[in-house]
Amino acid sequence: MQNAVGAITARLAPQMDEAGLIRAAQNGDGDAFERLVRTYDQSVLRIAMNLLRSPEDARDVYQESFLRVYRNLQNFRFDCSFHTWLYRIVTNICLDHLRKRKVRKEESSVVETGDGPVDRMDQVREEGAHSDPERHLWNRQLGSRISGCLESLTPRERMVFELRHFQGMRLRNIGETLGTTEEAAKNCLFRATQKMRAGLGDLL
Amino acid sequence: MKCELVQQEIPLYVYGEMPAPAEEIFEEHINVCLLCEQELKKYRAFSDAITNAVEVPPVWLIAECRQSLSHLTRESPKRTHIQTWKLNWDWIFGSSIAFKVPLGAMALLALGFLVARLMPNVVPSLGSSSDGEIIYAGLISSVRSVQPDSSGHVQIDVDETRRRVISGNVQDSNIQQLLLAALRDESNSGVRVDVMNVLKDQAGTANVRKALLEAVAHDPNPGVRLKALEGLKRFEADPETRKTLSRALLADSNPAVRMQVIDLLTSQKDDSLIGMFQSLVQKDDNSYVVQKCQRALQEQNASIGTF
Repeated sequence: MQNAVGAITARLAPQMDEAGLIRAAQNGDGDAFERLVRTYDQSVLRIAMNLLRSPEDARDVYQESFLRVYRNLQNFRFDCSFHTWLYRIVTNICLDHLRKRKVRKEESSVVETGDGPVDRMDQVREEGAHSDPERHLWNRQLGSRISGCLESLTPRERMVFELRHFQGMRLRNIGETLGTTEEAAKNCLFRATQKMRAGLGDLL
Repeated sequence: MKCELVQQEIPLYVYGEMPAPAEEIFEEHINVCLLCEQELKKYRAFSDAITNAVEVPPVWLIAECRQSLSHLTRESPKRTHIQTWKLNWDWIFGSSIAFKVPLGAMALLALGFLVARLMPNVVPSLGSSSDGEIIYAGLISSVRSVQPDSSGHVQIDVDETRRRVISGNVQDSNIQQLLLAALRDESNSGVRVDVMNVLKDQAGTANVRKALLEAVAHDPNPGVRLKALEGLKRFEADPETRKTLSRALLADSNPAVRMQVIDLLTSQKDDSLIGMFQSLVQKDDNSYVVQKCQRALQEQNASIGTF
């Protein structure tokens, strides 16, 4: 157990010094900025992929988010956690993408081809799922249905569901990130789960 | 507590967002109400299904994004204060669109700079989670929240990063994208040589051939450049390939590379090379390269010197 504690302490030690990394990056330390990016970028990409269900858009969100962080880091005053500040940027950019899509009609990740409907997300899914064909098929069906259900959510409902379900954020933090109240975030979550369950009802 | 209210609150219960007193009342109701218990089970099934269908960013996409971002941020020279960075960025990105196009192209060319070296080789085990899964310290990238309860248990919400072994056919486009990303990681020439060893037989694919040509022209490691040249052997007649080879012959600092380039270029008769070979005979500082040029000129019945 002692070893375990030592191991996790050692592993998490760099996380404890996040403020130091931010200050170094504010003073022009490129390596510190890169470490900050690497701490959060997989989560950022995952949010973008789940919300937008398009690898191209996810890539755009990634670049836009971290470039915005890069350009505005000197304005970060530690009034909130870096995590909250970053996610506020990411969620705003994702919401912009989602709203633009709503305006020009929803772009589904499922596209029609000569060989039938194909989910573009399949092109980027990992090998792991392919090792179990049955699971892969199930995931494809479910993934397509989830894409369909997500389209029925408003951008804000989609965002709250993503942050609560997949990112594990507390409703209070979600409210803070989205510039709203915990109560409003809770109501969004209720609506999102109801719509999702209604859409997936026969599959589960 | 009425069934309607309990069922409405199920998501809050499952996500652990319910205050402790309300949670107790909720559980008391669930324990005696079959209908609500069923609803809770259904919700958990829904929740699990959604969780299992989560989109995990593939390694190559992360690598591409990191590399591209790294390149963009390193484009501006390092200064001691972020304000000067900002000025540089404003200058770069606020300039005309004509300047942005080549900048974007440069960023794309350098894709893959940071191949995800996600985890150390050996990760210590921390124990196991409540569902028996072994937890490794090296897989934890951050702890999001910690929720203790009165019974001494604690719920730790962590993000994990994992090193993954991805296997697949070398002709698979996803595998090739990952290999191409690794090829642009300038920090590890050993990996680039290994990658080149694999890709040199795939030069029939346009993307791969383009990467081989880029490696011949720009890779800092001569071993990688030599491997790339091996891959281009079947394409010595391709005009684009010959153009790159000609430039490499004049510019490459490594004589072994220059000699291999001569072999490729002379595998077919090409009078347009005579002037270049004659020039190299005069100027190249490596006697083997000079000899190869002389032999190439003799084979083409051209004079060795210029008059």
